Amino acid sequence: MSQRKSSRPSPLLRAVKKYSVSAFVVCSFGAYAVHERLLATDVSAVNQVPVAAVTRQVSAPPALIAQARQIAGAAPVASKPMQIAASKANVATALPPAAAALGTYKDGEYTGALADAYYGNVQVKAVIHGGQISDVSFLSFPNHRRTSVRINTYAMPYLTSEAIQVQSANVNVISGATLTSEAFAQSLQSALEAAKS
Amino acid sequence: MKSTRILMGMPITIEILDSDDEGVIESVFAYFTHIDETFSTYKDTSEISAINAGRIAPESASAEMRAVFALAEQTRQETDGYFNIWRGDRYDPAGIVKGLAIAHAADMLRLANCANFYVDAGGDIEAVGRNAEGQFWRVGIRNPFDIRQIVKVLAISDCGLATSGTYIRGQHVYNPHAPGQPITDIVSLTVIGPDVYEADRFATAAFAMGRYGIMFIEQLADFEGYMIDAGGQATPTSGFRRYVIS
Repeated sequence: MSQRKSSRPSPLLRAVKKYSVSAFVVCSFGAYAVHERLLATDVSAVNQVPVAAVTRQVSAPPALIAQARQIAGAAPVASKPMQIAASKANVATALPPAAAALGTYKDGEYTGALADAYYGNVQVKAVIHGGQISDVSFLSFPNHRRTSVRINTYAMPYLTSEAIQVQSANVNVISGATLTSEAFAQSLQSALEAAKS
Repeated sequence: MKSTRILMGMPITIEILDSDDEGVIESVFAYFTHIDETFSTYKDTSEISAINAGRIAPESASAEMRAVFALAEQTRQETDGYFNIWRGDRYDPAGIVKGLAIAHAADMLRLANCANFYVDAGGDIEAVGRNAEGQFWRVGIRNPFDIRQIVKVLAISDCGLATSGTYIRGQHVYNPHAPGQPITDIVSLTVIGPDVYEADRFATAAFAMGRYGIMFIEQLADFEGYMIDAGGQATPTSGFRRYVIS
């Protein structure tokens, strides 16, 4: 006579099942944790991020800033122009002498000479309006090559990146790297020379 | 009233909406001229050149120069040495003087009761109040790969914005921890902060950190940033979008 197996597993088998399921869960979790940790240590670069020594509000103590700005020599501006002795010209400089300050320019658009910058040429256009410089723009610019290799983004674990896109909106002012290159100054200088009466 | 002068080797633009007093603008430009004549390393007659030539000791310099050195030292400590005006053989405080000068210029205008204006020196900006349309001032971030274009439009008010970058040679990009090694992985880093002095000094330091600089800015309370790498990918800090129009 065949014996039917009891419908309920023996206590031993039940215990084995229970523990093996638990062990499986624990091991899976452990493996996952180890996996994540390994990923994190791959981003060892993150450890190189200089930790800001400043974690509170960053502004320097108001007293120090105010002191520095006061020392910079400006008395509060009254209704009449401040008397700062700004000595004229005659300053030796590696850059071409800065163009004269006050409006001696004829209105119009003036294109500067092509000047050689490291990545290419710089050519500047100056627009004079009301005797003053109203706009400075680039007709030719150094061509900084875009690399084809995608720069690693893994180093910024939770910051998302985006491809830059040209915008067509009007703005009041543009921010970019300081335009203090010699080539820029040279081209601008030649444009302003043409604008002088 | 809007006026542009070439001073300190760069275009400096001041636009004031609530004053027609040209004397105010003149006094601000005169101040920038004074700053140039004191701190320009391109001028043999400047005080900084005298220090670099050994004619003056930094401790014996003017109060103004000593204040700049003190602020530079504070910044050096706050940035783990990534900001450093000592270039190995000479001092060049340009990375802190520009922001300080613009911030001071803005103070001068506030003292003259101007409430809606901006001061822009070579792309570092202090923006106060509203523009002529009554909106926050609209600022564009220049495309490092074609500087006739902009790649981001921001709206800011009562704060400072500074961009460090390398896309024009002669640009002073310097990593004090690896002098002589050019920074090639990022090309532009824009920082927005409580004022342009703060934005400028941290933009300078963060740029020297390469692609980790954006994390440095992320960690700083009250600062946001936008980094563009050499591949044309941009990484904003997590709170940067509050300034973004497009």
